[in-house]
Amino acid sequence: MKIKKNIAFFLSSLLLLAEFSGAENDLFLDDLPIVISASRLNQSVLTSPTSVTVIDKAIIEASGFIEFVDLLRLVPGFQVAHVDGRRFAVAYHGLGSDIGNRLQVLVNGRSTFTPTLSTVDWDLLGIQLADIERIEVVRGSSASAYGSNSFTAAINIITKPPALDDTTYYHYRKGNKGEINQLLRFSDSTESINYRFTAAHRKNDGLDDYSDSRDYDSFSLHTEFNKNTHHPVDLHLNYTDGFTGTEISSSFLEPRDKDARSWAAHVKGQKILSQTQDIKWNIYHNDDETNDLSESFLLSDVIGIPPATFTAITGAPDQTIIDGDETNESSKTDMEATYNSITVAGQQYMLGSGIRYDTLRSKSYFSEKGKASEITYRIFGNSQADLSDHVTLNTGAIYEHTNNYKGRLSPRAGLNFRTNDSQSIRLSASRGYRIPSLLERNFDKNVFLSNNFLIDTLYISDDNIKPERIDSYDIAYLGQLRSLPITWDLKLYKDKITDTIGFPLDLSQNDPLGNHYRLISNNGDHEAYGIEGEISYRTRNDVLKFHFNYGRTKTRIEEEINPTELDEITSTAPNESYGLLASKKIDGWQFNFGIFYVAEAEWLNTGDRIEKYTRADASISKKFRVGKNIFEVKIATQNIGEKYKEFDNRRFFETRHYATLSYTIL
Amino acid sequence: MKRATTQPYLTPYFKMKAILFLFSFLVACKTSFASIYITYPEELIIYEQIALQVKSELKKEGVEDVIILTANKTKEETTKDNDLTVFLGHQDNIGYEKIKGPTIFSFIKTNNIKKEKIENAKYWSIININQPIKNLLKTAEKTVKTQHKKNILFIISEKNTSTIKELESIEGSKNVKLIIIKENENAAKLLEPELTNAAAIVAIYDPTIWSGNSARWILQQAYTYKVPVIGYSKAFLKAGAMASAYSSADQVIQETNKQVITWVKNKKLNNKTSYPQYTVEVNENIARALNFSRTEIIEMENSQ
Repeated sequence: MKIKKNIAFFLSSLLLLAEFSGAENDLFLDDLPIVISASRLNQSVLTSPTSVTVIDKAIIEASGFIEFVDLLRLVPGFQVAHVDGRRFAVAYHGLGSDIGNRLQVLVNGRSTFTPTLSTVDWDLLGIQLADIERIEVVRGSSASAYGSNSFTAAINIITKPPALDDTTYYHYRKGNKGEINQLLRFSDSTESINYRFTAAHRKNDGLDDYSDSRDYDSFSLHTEFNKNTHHPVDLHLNYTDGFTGTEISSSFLEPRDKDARSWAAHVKGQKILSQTQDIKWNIYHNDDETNDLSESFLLSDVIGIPPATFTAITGAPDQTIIDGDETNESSKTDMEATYNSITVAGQQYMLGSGIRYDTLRSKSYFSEKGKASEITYRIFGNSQADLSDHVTLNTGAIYEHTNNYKGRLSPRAGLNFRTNDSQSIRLSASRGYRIPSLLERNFDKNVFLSNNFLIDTLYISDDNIKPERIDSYDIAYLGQLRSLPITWDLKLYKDKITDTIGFPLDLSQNDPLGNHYRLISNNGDHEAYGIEGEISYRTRNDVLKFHFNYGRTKTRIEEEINPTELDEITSTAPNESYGLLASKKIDGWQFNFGIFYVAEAEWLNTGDRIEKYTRADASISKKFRVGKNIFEVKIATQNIGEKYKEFDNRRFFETRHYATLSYTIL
Repeated sequence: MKRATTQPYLTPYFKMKAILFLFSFLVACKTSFASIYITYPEELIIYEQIALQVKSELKKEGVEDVIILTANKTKEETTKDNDLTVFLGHQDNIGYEKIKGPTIFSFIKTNNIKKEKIENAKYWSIININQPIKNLLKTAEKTVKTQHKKNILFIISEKNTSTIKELESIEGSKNVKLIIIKENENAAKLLEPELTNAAAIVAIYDPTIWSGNSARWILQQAYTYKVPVIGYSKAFLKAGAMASAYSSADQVIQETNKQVITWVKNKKLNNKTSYPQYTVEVNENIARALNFSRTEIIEMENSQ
């Protein structure tokens, strides 16, 4: 009986204690949601497993750049070039071409590389530079943290939360080369919803003497649902529609513009289980459609034979064909969930899994089957643990499996030694795989006549094409001064990429026209090593940022096969590149200046060996505040001085000027 | 039929005498011995538990005559001039003017007690559960690690005039910077330009600023800019502040009982606002992410 009473007392005490502890928070405290949960516990740079360059709003403003990719000129080890007025080439540590397919580009967690060639169309991201809060550029292979295609680097674009945005914003930009940009943005909040709507129009004539103009309209909506503070949900909708000029690669097609349309729906949420545990989920769908179909000249004219001879050879009447270089419809649907936790001892870990469905439809790319698709499954995890007060170990891995490729594991590990409270040394190693894109694996570009006579074969994918593999090692030294706002990040690196995918000409095969076709296959390898780094001085109004890269690359590519002709290229990345960005406020005027030097380097595919160049940009801006209204005027010049070549030896980047007027209601 | 009698037989005269005697005894007791009333708002059940704990701990100290009442019952109760009333929590809806005797207001958040409420009381004491600015500042100063990020930011709504005055008196010294938020302004937005040079944000009691979405965005902005937030309650630690200087319920109860015993022994109260002992607690996960070392965390925890 006594035992029963004791148990009852013990239980009731426990109950009371539980009630008291729970209620204590209510008593002491106010309506405070958990804001910084396990998944937001980003690592200190001193314990991060990879080098990250952050480009925030102030740097974007100071740079004067108006293209997303130009911002990557501020990142050590990155190469950026205007392929023409509408396309861009971006690479990290070389092996760059007009097909920049070794980067992950995320917009608020939505991956934007297309299933076509795993490239990004920077005009179809669905967001505007003015909406960006910051861009985090992860320099190094990081698939376990940033997902598929984070092969050489990952670019994470984060837009400003609507709740923190200005009520209304409008800007009008006008420049030479036909540059016009208008943007209107509204933000508002209610008790449970914050939203921002952006509408923009962009027009540009591109480079001189080329058909590479752009004309796009873009709309985006970002809504935050905050009613349940333990389960915030974000919805993003983006739509872009427009057209660009095109430079037709085939001499027998009539030139025409390319129509481009893209939309994306993205919803993500977080379920906060406790201060130390949460679950995040992320679902999105991207849909892109481009059309540059054009009618050819009469084939007898193209081949240079009389129509009767044409019919005699092919059995088909003389005719035209309809074709396009970039005509396709692609979509990507992705679902992912992650569980994030942090232990009492401070060990952080994240486990996640996801599934992606890619489709690509194109009569131009797949003459016969017309469509290709793939399902990719992935599981991944990352952890960070302090081995001692000064040593932190980061580990992570992603295992990706598709219905066409057996699973592959991409691991990474980093060991950080904090030499004191503001400096650390990091050793890290990683291995990553890039699974061939749908087009790389399924390319089958043939030209058939009306009687199904195969007249021309341009591209065929190798049935045995393998994923590319990268092995990276780096030693980094990071730190900050206590007496001045100076931070630095210096890195010695070595990357080796094997089984690079390219387009060698297969000399063993001839089509009916007697031409060889290109075989999409693993045709080379690439090595890069060197030192890179950045040093920044930042105050509230002033920016001084210097970055550099001194490195060597060696790329071996089989340009032709059967028999093989191996091409050894010594610098697909410049041996030297550096940049300096300075911004200072004087009497309310913000003066900005940037200078960028790039040594000689070779761009692959349609690019050339480009001689060294130096480019200088400058801008000046001033804000005028009247109550809650802010007017701003900005005048900028890009490339002060001589025109120079960036990607190939036919095209020049000339001096550009623009002026922007903006109006903000706070 | 004979009725069974189980009660002793009492005459009506004797009954009346007994009742009169009992009544006189009760009245005599009431007028000669002072009582201690602990009153709490019935809508918050936690205060009932606190009241019971206060009573139980007072009993251990030999203080027996403690009556627990809800706020509404207190309104109906007639107290004597020398009865001590201990109010727990925020009880604006009850008429303090009815309480003639000495009063202790405990578990009070800053600015909850209006001056006119205590003007008529001869003896009073306020025990505040929030921390005085100096305590929070002492902890915040431990976050200053570099010359260029040394500002300690206080965010307060413009209607919080008394705290603004107090803060203005220290603004400029000790790198304190005050950000005053007007009605309908978004505190997190106004804060952003200041975060580049900020060592810490100090939260002080102001429900307009530190509740709901406003608190959420401030904490989020601060974290994005790697600026630690110093809170005044344990809830801040859970929400994502790096450190909090706060008094626990036990510490406030201890201070309350100290004041009660002072009254019982000396029949006097200190007639001022006092702050109980407090604790500085650090959310180590946040501190680590903001690059604070173990040594710095310990220093901060020992900063009270």
